[in-house]
Amino acid sequence: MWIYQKQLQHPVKIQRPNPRLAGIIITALGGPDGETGAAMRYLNQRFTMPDGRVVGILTDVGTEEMGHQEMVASIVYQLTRNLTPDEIIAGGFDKYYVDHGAGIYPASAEGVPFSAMAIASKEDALASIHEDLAAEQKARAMYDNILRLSDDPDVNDAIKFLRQREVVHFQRFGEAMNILRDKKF
Amino acid sequence: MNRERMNNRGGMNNMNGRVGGVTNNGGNMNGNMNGNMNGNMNGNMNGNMTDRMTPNGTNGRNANGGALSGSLAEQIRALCFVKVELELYLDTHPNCRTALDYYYRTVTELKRLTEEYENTVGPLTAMGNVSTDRWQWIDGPWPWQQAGDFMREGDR
Repeated sequence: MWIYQKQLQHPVKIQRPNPRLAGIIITALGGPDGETGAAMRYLNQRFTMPDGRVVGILTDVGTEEMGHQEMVASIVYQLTRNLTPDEIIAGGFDKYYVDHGAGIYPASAEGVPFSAMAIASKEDALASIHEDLAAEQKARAMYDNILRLSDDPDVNDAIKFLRQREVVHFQRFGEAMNILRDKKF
Repeated sequence: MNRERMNNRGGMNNMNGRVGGVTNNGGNMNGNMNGNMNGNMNGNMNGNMTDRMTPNGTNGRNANGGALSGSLAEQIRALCFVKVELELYLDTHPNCRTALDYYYRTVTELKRLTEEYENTVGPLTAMGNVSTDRWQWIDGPWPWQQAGDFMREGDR
């Protein structure tokens, strides 16, 4: 059961539309290291976790990741407002646009629709937690790449926030791994 | 794009500089896995939060002049961030009394501000709809819709 709060976790206020950037940042929603996969990974892994502390961290990080899906979608939404066909073509956004218009669709920057193949969930607790540690690192690296490609300060403000959350989550999953090791899992 | 910058180690350092200033451990994923409470808290929370949460402040917003800046919505967002951060910390440190105390004070203040917001602005969650005339939950702006220049034509 979840309760929706009508507020982003961190503000997204993009001044300038930019279809090229939108086509890159969509990967943070639906790409292999995106927020959709993050939420699905943690929320599904919870059920067979043998320790309440680890169930707790998966529940709360997974919930936060849903908030991050909303933030990324908001960035893409604001970057694609009021575009002309010429701007869409010049920005390389035409291949996305022809299927989805400016609607939000979880896909990678290369146009591959979101796939659960990008996540793992195992009854083996240590295997799942190692997957989670790797996932946070990969997502952090993806956000680093976005920051290399973007020079829009409005976009970068939100992306830096999301990047930082990956670092914090990695920390907490590291503690979860120690908890499991202490209990000889 | 400078190819060298993307590939070599210097590029990564440069990168960390660009995204630095977010927190102390922002550039370092190899940090202390055992979780030093102070390190994490100081690294990830807004400095204002400490002032705001001083125990002797009965009215948080005016306590010791340690007011959170920004609108009511921004204050709620800041407190929600503290709440989430403490929840994650408490999940792996469930007996930390310092964090528990911090959490209860955060939630008390958040409840107060949320009630003020819902009485004056609109519902933050569906059950915060207080009007007897209208189901205001459906009224914009939704979180992705920003006022003025940020709006799409359809958002108006």
